[in-house]
Amino acid sequence: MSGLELLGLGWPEIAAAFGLSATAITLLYLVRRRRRVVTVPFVALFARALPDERTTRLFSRLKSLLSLLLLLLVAAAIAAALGLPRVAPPPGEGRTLVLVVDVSASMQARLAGGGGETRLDRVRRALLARIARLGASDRVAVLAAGARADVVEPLTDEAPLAARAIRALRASDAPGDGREALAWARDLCRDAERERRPCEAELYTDGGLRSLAEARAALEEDGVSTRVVLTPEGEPPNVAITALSARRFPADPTRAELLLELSSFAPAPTPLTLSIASDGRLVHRETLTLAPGARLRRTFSDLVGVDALIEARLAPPEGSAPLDALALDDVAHAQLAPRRRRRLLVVSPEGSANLYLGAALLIDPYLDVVERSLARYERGDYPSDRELVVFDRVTPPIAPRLPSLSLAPTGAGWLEVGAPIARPRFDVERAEHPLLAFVALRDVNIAAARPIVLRPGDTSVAGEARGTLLATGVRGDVPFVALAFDVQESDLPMRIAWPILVFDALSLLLPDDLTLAPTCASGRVCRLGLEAPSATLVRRGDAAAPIAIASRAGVASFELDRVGVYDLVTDARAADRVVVANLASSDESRLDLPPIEGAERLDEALTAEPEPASGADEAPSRARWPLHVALLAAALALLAFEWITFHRGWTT
Amino acid sequence: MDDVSALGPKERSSRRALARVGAATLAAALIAIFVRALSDEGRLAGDALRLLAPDALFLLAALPLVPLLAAGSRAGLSRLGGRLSVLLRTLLFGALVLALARPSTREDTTRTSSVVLVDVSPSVSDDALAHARALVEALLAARGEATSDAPHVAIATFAGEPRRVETPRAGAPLALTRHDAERPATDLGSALRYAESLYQPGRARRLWILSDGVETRGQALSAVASLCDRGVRVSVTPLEGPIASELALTGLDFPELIRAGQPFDARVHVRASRASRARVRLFRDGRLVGLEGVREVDLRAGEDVVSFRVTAGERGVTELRAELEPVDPADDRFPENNRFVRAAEIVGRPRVLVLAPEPNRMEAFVRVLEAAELDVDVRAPRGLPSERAALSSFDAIVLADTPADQVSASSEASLVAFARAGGVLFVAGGPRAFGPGGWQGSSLARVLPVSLDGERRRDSPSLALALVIDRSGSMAGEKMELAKEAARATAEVLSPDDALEVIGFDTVAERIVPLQSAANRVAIQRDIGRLAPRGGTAIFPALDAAYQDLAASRAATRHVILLTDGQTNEPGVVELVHAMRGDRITVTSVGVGSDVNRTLLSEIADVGGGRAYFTADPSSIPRIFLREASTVGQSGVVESLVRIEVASRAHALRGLDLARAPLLRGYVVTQARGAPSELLLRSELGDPLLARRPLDEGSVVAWTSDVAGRWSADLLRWPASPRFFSQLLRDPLRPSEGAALPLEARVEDDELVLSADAFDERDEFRSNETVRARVEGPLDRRADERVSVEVELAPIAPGRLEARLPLDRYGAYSVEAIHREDGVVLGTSHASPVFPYPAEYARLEPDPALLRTLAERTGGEVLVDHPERLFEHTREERLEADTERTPLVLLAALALLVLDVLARRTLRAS
Repeated sequence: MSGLELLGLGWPEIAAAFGLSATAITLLYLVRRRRRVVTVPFVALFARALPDERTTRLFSRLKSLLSLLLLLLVAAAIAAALGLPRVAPPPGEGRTLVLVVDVSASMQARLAGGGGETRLDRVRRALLARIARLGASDRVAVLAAGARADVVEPLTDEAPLAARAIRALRASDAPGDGREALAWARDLCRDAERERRPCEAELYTDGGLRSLAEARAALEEDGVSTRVVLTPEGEPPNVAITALSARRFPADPTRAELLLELSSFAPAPTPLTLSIASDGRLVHRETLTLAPGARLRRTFSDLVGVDALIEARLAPPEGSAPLDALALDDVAHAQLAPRRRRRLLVVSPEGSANLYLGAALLIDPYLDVVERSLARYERGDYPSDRELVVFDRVTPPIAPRLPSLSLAPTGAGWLEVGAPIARPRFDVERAEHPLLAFVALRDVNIAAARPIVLRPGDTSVAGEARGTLLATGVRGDVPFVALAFDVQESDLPMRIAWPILVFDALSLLLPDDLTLAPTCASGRVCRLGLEAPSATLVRRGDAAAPIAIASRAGVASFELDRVGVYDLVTDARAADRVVVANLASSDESRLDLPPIEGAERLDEALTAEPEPASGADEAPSRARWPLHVALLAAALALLAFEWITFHRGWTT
Repeated sequence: MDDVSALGPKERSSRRALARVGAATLAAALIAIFVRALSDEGRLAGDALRLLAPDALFLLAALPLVPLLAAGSRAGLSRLGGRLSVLLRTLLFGALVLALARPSTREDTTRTSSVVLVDVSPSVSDDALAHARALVEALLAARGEATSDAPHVAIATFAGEPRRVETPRAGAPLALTRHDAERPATDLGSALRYAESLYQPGRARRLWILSDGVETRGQALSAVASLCDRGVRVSVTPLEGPIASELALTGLDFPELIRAGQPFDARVHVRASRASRARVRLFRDGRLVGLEGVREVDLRAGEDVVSFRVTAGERGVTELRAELEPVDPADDRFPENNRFVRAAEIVGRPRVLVLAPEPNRMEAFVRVLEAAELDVDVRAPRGLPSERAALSSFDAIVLADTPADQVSASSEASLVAFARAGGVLFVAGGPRAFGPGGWQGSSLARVLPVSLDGERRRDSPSLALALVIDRSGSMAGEKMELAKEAARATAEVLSPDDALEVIGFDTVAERIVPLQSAANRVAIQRDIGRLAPRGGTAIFPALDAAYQDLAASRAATRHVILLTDGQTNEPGVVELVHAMRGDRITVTSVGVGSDVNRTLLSEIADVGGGRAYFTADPSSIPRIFLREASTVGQSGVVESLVRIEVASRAHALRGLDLARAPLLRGYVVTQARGAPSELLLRSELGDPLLARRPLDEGSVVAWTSDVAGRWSADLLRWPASPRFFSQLLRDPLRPSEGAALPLEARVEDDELVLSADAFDERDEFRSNETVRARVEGPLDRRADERVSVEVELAPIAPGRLEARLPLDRYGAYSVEAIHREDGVVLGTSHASPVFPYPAEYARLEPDPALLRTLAERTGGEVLVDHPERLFEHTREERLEADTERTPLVLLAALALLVLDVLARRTLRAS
């Protein structure tokens, strides 16, 4: 048997409040009556002369009493509401309902003829109606199933709290996974069963959640009743940018290629306008029609102005009506890898700089070059951040700890060379070796050279019968490239091959993929090289709080739920890098998902109250509206009535 | 505009009423709009005031009714009293509506709701877990009985997933059990998000994490940001304790390039939490690596490397497995990480199997292939391995001048299967290959890139056939009749363009049917009937007669079939045949009975470039004749000097100056086929010389000239011939040194990530490249326990393809990928990713830094002892909780009610 429980003030406080207010009101009524009783003899005469006056006074007294009564009732209702009374369910009564809502990206899809209403909006409406029908002793929890699960509202018997949580649901930009959310639902139901409350889980989805079947099976195995409700089906039209990425050409990092893939999930041909902007400047625009089911892959290698941040956008040709049901996948971003500065140390003989080497290194603005004499190098007098050392006509006795390019090694140091040979030629070349990419040395004229003495594991890249002129290998776990002659005593610097050879050597010695910047996929772990211990990601055009990320061993791992462009900020400085996130999976763009076995349609589910779970309270559920709401509603009604009657003179 | 003063009192009154109603309606609308804008998810004034039922505020839109209903009041209130009453009643209505909206404020509170998360993953030792249990029990003891005023405490354990634990009464033991059914992992981020479901409303939220901080899945740092937003303060207790003794294998290295048969060093990486002694074993393909395969080593605390010298086996994928066994079992906690398996690719020179009926004639070709750095194995067609595994050790098979009758049906199927599985099947021509070899209609012919049908040249007589039949006395009876029947049948199958001659011989030769067109079938049939047995056996005159007649013929193919059943030892027969051969007349010998001179007949066929048949059953004579006639009759063989012309510039012909290639002396006439077959070279007569077609994973190449030197002697001496044949055989070869394309395979978050770069020789992106990979493993499992799947890598960027595959089994995997461009195989690649054991077993030391970061970001602290501090409220912090303020508003409403009564009772009109 249920009783009454107070969530606010207790009965003594309620009684006191009512007593005080009622006393005050009554006294005020009494005070008013005494003041009006003034004895005037001839008035009594008139009173006797006018017999109706007695009736009028009686009526006036009654009106006054009615007014007092009404106000006392109002005071009583308000005082009773102070306790926030509620019918307490008996122990073990009532169901536990765990509502799991798919908040994956596809739930942002607009419904056909829905006036801009999305799948999630529709689910929200359905759930608010669902909660309004719950019994007084029922409890409800709201979980969101996005890329990860989130508890939007823990188990509560407060309908307003659950309703507020449902209103707060937002669809993410990521694919959804039902495994974690349904596992939590299972856990909540286990708790409910400990309290002997029947529990059931309801999943509201458009059918696009991953791991759904396995998670459902696990729930059913545990005896938890599940109900899957699908949002409206059909074939919503959708076209999407399913891939966008930009990459610099390895051989010429100043040029880049853009890969774009458009997919149609629409049942009919879709005309659209594709526009591509680079750093906000439009660089390409075209109108095309995508056939149903088409997957169009395009590459653009001639987009002038493609520099750093690229945005591709699909729009209807007229630019008016929405293109399709899901706007999220009509925009994608890509970025070109920022070119990293390579930090070089050039060691030359004292007072004898190699102008040809300097000129070759000047061509690439992304080289940070520090020059030192051999003596200063041997003293360690150079910045510690150098990544590569170029020995120009000098050879220190000890092999360097950095990758090195040796030009004209002298033979007195760590790199062994043979006896000088006159007028050597490049008769033998390993044309496929990366050192010789875009380089032909066959007709280079050289005055003299000291051939490189190879050790096991070294590679002779080019040379002649008398010895190796260009070699690469490893000494003490550090790679090297050696050119056996002084370029100043050859016509090599006069050729375009010279700077290319230098850059080929640098690329070989500092292998690093500088061509491709990582693009994050929403809802998936994204890994980013980050030297700082921590940083924040600020989404452009979004007032949401910055996302804090931390680096471990130079790599930051994080997940982004929203697609778009993020500025990466370290140490409270201005943004020093851009991170882009695109929709992870084209599955989210495929809006006509296959139906799920045993699932109900949302409109059917709205009209049909689910059967109570086994062992559930099958008695009609009482209203879960709190009693104080009824009390206050009554007080408002009484006050309104009293106000009207008072000013119309029916009460005084 | 009307003049109001001109209106009567009634009109003025009704206009005023209308104006009031209008003003009230406008005010109501404005209030409703204001409320809608104000009640953003029930938040007012930022986060300071929340409304649990914000929709109730829409009742405020009824407030303008209060003054409206008071208009024209008959209550007898003074002017001040009336206005004050309206104000107070409006406030009273407003207060009641606000109470219906259920306001709550964030207030300081000392009541806390704490969620305790205990890490029960395998990386937390039993001692550390016991310590955690003691701490949580101390917390519960400090909390006391679970009354409504006492701090609320909820407990959950977590490993790969979080799980609620029933909170025991104070003093009762706490059950913290490990999640044995789960895959070993620690997902702290998931536990942090799950904790939200355990809080009690209206209380300050606390979170206490007892963990070693080893996070193997999820993103705790991302999850803690959400906790900050919800005002949760996180305290942590790193479960460090004394490091439990543990040994683990963390890696197995070997050189990238391992050549078949060569020794190499395999380096086993061992990690020990403290100095200990252990045995390390290394296995190759399940067998201990020799006597040196077991090492007992002293391990220092930290990382150690144990090297093994291993001799590589044959080419292909080999499995290396390291195992660790602690000398003292107490030194090791997890046996799961005592095993590490990797697949190694052993490379060697590509292997080519040459199948030829006469292997000794392949010497020149073998020298060419060896000069191209190919390992060559020459066998007779019967030597084709029957086992698929043995066959797959070859990269290419050359079927040189082999007739169909020397290849069994199963061998033929094996050859086709070999090509389909990724090998190169190179079918070389010769007088006994393609059509002349009787391959029409075979399964091999169906997959050839050239057609064998209708291949006869129509511009000249194709065949001049001489049947030289022994008519000695021993042939009398059935033999002779069958010989005549065979001759007649032969005449029937020949084309009208062919020419036929029948010579009967005993001691002398007689032209029974002079050389004439096969179109004269009636006359030929009649003349054959004249063949009758008599006399002895003298082959020479008969062959000589055939030689003289055929030498005068202009037919492209001139052939003699010699049938005899007798013994003869005539001198000069072989020399005669040799001379005939010199004039491009071929001779086939058929011996009937057991008395024939096998040596002579074999030699005749051998020297004569034909076939030798021996049969004791005369009834087989017609079949032999028909087969011969069919074979030579359909052979569109061109035997003349022909120039090679390039039909299409294929990758396989790169770097070859074919305009300077030597002339060929002949080839088998075939016809080019359409796509997917590709004609690469043709003769100056327009016939296919070289054609290729992809066949599933492999390809079939047809070279219609020969490789035995009869037609290609000059080509085999050409300096570029090693490159020519090498490129044809190696181009789409299986993984091998020099042919491998880039493929990276790594394991990330329980997923195998395959990525391949697609560049051409000029470092331009190959936008049309496709990569299909086959993933197999774990290699140390039985075949039925292995995963064997094919995945297509999808382009994710210019020149970059990628595929992701979830892995649910631990071990070493082998990945073999085929790279294609526009359907043509570019090459293959191989990778050996390893997914040794759960990451949970790889990290031996706790990571308190992560826990401290979580505490710092939420204003929490590190709780080493005194867990009751979780409930404390310090001055520096604010414990905030939502408190419902409806009673306060209702008290205010009561006060307003009294004031309202006071005003209306005291401020009456005089």
